[in-house]
Amino acid sequence: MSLSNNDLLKPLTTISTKFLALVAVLGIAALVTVEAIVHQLRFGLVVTDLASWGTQEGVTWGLYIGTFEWFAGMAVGSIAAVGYIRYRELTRYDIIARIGEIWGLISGLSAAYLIVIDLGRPDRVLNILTAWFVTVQYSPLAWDVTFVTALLVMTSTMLILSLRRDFSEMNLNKLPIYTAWIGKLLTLGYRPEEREKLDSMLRWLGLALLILAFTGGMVPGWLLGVVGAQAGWYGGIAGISFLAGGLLSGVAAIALIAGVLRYSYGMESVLSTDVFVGLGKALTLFGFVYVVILFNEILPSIFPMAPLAESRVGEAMLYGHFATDFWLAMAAIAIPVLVLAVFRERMLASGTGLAVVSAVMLWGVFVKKQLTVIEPLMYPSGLPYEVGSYVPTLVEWVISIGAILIAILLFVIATKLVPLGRSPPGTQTPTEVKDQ
Amino acid sequence: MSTRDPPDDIESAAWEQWATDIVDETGFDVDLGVGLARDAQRVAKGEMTEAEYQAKYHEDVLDEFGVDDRPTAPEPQAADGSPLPGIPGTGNGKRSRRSMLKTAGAIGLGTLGLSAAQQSTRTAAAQTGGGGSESDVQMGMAINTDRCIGCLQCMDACNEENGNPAESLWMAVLRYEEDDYTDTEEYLTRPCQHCSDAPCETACPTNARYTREKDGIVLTDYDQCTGCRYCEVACPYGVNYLQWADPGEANSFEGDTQVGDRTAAGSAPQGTMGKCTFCAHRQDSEDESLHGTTACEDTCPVDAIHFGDMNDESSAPRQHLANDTDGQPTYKLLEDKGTEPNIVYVGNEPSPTATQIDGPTGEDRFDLVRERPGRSRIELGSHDRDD
Repeated sequence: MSLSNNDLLKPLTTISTKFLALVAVLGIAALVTVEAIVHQLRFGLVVTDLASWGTQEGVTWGLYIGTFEWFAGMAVGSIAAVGYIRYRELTRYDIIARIGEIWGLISGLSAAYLIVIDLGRPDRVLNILTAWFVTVQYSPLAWDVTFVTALLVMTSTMLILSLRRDFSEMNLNKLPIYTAWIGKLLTLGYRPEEREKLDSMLRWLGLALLILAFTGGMVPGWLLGVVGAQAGWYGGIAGISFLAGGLLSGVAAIALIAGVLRYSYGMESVLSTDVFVGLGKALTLFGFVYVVILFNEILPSIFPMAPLAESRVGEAMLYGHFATDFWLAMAAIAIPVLVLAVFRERMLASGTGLAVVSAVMLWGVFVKKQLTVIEPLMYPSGLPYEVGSYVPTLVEWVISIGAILIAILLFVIATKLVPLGRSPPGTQTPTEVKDQ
Repeated sequence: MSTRDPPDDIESAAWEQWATDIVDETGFDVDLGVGLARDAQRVAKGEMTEAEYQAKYHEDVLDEFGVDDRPTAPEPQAADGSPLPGIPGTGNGKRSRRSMLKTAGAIGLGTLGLSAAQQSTRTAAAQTGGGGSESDVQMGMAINTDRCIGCLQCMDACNEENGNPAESLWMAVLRYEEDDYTDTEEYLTRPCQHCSDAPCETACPTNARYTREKDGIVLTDYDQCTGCRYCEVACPYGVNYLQWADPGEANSFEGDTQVGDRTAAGSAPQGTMGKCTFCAHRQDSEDESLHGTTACEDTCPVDAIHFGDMNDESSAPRQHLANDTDGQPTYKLLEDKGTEPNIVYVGNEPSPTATQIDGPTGEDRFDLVRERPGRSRIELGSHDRDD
């Protein structure tokens, strides 16, 4: 136990030069991002390339909303994984659950602030909350606020309660002083008798997270899916499509993080090969399902019988203006699925191979989310408007990519503040591979 | 119309004369009007059932008015006889009190068969839970695109009136051609459609986009709007224009921005959404001569735009639709979207494959542009639509 405990606590107890360099680089990226945000706050959305669709021939939602959808998807996928692991008490996946809790929280926060950045009047974001009691009856954006709030509250509750349990098993004196301080705070008033209740709470909170992921988790998809004016958004598959993409990207993000952690800290004893095999199987399944759903979502639009508006959007995606991006994104999801299915054991043994395919899949989902948002706005239907154009400005790229780098920075810092799990106890429940 | 009281006995010659005089003034079929009024009294007294009343005049009413929307017409029902489901406020599944009163007024029942009409209306209101305070006024337009010459003066007048920057084309005239071998070029004059079932309102997360009760105009509360642009993606007509940049001196609106207790008239401040307000500041102006007018309507040299209360038969749009269409077809834009727009067009409807083309009168002639500041210049017709 002591050996694995040391492995588990390695991120907490060591600070390498490489780590400091990474934090420095990410820190600089964060500062540049903040500068871009301040720039946009000063001059307004005019610093983007967004414009009204119609006579201005622009797209009115762009990179920010696409990146929002990507983060929201990862948040949903992360909490689904956390919920499953906690509910089934898959102890060997404990570190995976902790990664999911932290990444789900960071993704949810990133999604939330990207929405604020996209507002023309970000200073008025509270108006959305004050009007919520009325607008929640019909406005999908109000539903989304509700969902993201529930996600943040439930995920942070899960994080706090599971940390309370983990800290209670640890000798706080062996931890760095700031971690020990967090540990003391989180185990305030802890009594050994509450342990049984705590385990039970984590289990049922896990079920609640699962339910939230599979119900409210569709809301960011409906945000686009209920808009009847935009061909390519409207339709019954939007929620499912979002959920599938979310499960894929959430699990991919967790697998990527786990692979990097294992590689950097040599955590072989606590992140065993079969954990990566399990994650790989989940990724194979979710990737496959996502591709099937996209296939089903897009293909009908290019059949000769498709309505004009839908076919314009579909054709631009499949062999028009966006074809290169679209097919690269599809390849970035489909090829890893194929690779995972064929070379599973060899690929996954170290976790590094899985991290690489996860990164590729994450990129694929990112591009597809952007296309989903931009497309219908660029190809308006109904009135005789022209096809629009959209070339994101430097500010938009810096803020969007910066949001990703800031999220990574936050996670990197979190690994130095809280333990990534607890040492595997003597009794283990049979490890089940996540198979939805 | 005469305001003197009717004689009590509906069988008497005096009543007959009184009724005839009144119906005669309306220009509708006198026999039918008098008959309707007399039997409406009988319905009110309980001597005749609503069903009998409905059946007796159904054919004649259809002949005379083209529609039989009398309050006694059976309500639409589901197969099991239960009322159809409807979302409060949208009016689906039921006829509105507004349309009942409108029809009642049209056939002279407003004064003659008042008691019967009132009785039915009360029943309908009780059934649907509708309040009695809903205004009967719905502002709208009849736009005769057959007359439009594409001079773009309405666009210019709109931006002048509302102090809009050059790229916020609340009124836009699109020049387009159809792929139908006729080589005809047409214009589409496109303000906000001020829909009765406006998707932009449903999308709005802050209640900033609203329809005002008084006259059904759809407005944006500039103090509430967060600039999320959900209204813009939800609108099938593309009439919303965010104020992307600080308008600075470009915002030259000099009127009162207050509409009731909200700030909703004139150009949109930076970061908020603007669109055609039907010149709300004119409707609320102290100068009564401005009521019922808009800048685009006033300036149109060919009298193509007619603004007024769509529920008032004597209003400019209704009169235009009744008398001046010259046999041209009428339509509402994208009705299949279910938005219930309040602009009625006279002329040819643009097909889904219509292509926008550059007009002989470009926006350059006025202080109007298409591209928003900071974006590359738009060349009309430079894109291949089926790219």
